[in-house]
Amino acid sequence: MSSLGTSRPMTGLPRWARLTATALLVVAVVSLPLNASPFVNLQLSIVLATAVALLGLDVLTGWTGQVSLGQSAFYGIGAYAVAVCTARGWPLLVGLAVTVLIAGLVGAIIAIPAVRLRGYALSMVTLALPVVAVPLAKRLDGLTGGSPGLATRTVSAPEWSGLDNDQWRFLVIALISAAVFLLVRNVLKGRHGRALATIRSSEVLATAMGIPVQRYKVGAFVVAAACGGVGGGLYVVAVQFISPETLIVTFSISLLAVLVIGGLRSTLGPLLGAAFYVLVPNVTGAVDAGQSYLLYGLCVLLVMFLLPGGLASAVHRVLAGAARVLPGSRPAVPDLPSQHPIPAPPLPEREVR
Amino acid sequence: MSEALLQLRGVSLAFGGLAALRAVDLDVAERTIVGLVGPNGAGKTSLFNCISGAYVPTEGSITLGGVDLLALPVHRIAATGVARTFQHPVLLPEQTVLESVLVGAHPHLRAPAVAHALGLRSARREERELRAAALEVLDRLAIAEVADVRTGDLPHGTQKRVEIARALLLRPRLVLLDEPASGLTHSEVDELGAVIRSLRDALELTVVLVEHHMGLVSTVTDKVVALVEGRKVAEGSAAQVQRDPTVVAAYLGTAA
Repeated sequence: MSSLGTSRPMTGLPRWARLTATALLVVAVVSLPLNASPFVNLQLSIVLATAVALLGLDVLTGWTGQVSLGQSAFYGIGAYAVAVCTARGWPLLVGLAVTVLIAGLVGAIIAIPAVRLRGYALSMVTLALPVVAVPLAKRLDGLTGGSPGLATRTVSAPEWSGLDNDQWRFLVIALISAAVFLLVRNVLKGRHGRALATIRSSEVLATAMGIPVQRYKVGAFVVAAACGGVGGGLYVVAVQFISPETLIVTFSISLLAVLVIGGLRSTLGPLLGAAFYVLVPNVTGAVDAGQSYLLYGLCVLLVMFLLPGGLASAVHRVLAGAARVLPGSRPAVPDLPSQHPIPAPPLPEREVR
Repeated sequence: MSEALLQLRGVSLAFGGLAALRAVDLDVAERTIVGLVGPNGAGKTSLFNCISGAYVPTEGSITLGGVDLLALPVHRIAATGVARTFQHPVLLPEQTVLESVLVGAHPHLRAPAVAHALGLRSARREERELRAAALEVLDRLAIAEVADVRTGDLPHGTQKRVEIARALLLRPRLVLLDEPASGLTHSEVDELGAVIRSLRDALELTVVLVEHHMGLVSTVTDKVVALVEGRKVAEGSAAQVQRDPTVVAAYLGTAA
């Protein structure tokens, strides 16, 4: 169980510790909304929605090495698709399926010509997406409600659950996010993740290894777009409202920034990055409402200076430490200092046939 | 001699007005080791890049076992059995040795993304078998002990061996080794010669190597081809090529 070129938070831990940690996490996620205020549930729901969008961006940027400034547009596509579908009374899953189709299709239409471009050209093409999407969302007011936005009622807590809407919505969002994370992580663990990592390190190498580089880049772009869409859809599930302002390009830039803050190529990275994006402004606003942005910027700098590998790298370090002391751990591979390299062992005698 | 496994006919490559290769013919017979020598800038690596698909020759033809490589999409060339290593190892430093060689088998893997996403048994079995095959190759190259060490923590010589292991996971017919001895110590070069010969014998491989290390070239190769300024100027045994006046002049300069 390893993924390529990435930090693997729990692989060093013994099996019992991994299972216990997973079980505790599930219990925590399920019980959390029951004791939290509607505001907290809303915030946590937005964290998960943002994390799904960041997960997609990580496939494209962290794994494949392609920088996209268009993620907010796909977030918007998903948000509007779910809002429009649920406003018509269709089930949420239909809305999400429509989201994946439309976002994936738009992603493919942009990516197929764009991946042929080299260097920064792809980023510049993706920059155009939110620039076009915002006025488009305002113009298509028959569908999107125009500038004022579109309110909808996505899911409500069923009678039998005895839960409030905010609690139910959080659980629905948590379930869907977990499914998306699991699916994407499983794919990245195998040959597709290896292919993307190889493309990032060298396209000449990737081609020599028989990897169709452009096809994989388009694939990464489509996955990023679809995840962006699902993230936006989940945002609407939480907020019950979407307006064109959500799609603006600065949101794309924020997503890139918090992805790096969370940590690239790590399952935890998008979650921690999303938590930073949603929760830190609450804290800085509470400390000093007038200087909230300034304090937020300071937090960004602080994380980057102290943890260049992102917030996830700190968690990985703690888990690696735990793996060393917990009973039942596999003997860990020592962190070898590079000045004491392992010499290549002698070769066996030439085989005689 | 039967028809050569690898055949180059009149291969020329030009970057703008600059000719990197001029009408190069090359025959590499199955299960032989051919050395490609010549001064820096002679076009040796360019020739490798043409065979592996990184460059498209301006003229000429390249066939492997009768298959026209230039007619294939570049990413299909590996699947015909052409594997290569690089002069400077191209490895992700944070990947372990085992992880970094797995990608070598890419063209043989079939499980679709959906099978991986859902964790289907077919995908899991393919990955398990791949890992077993990779450990076997690491063992053959005597680097199985460092399977879980990050490549960035390995010395240059071992990194070069990781690249060879990655190339072998393709189960290639032809292996292109770009300066495999560069940066190695004397004893490492001797070991490398033994490795290359044992691979040829045990895995029935055909090997082309670009090399400056004449000691290695003369001990392992069956044939040596010398390139100077993109032209083939000599072909024969290592001893013959080393005595060839054009080759000597290219390396040492002509007497005034």
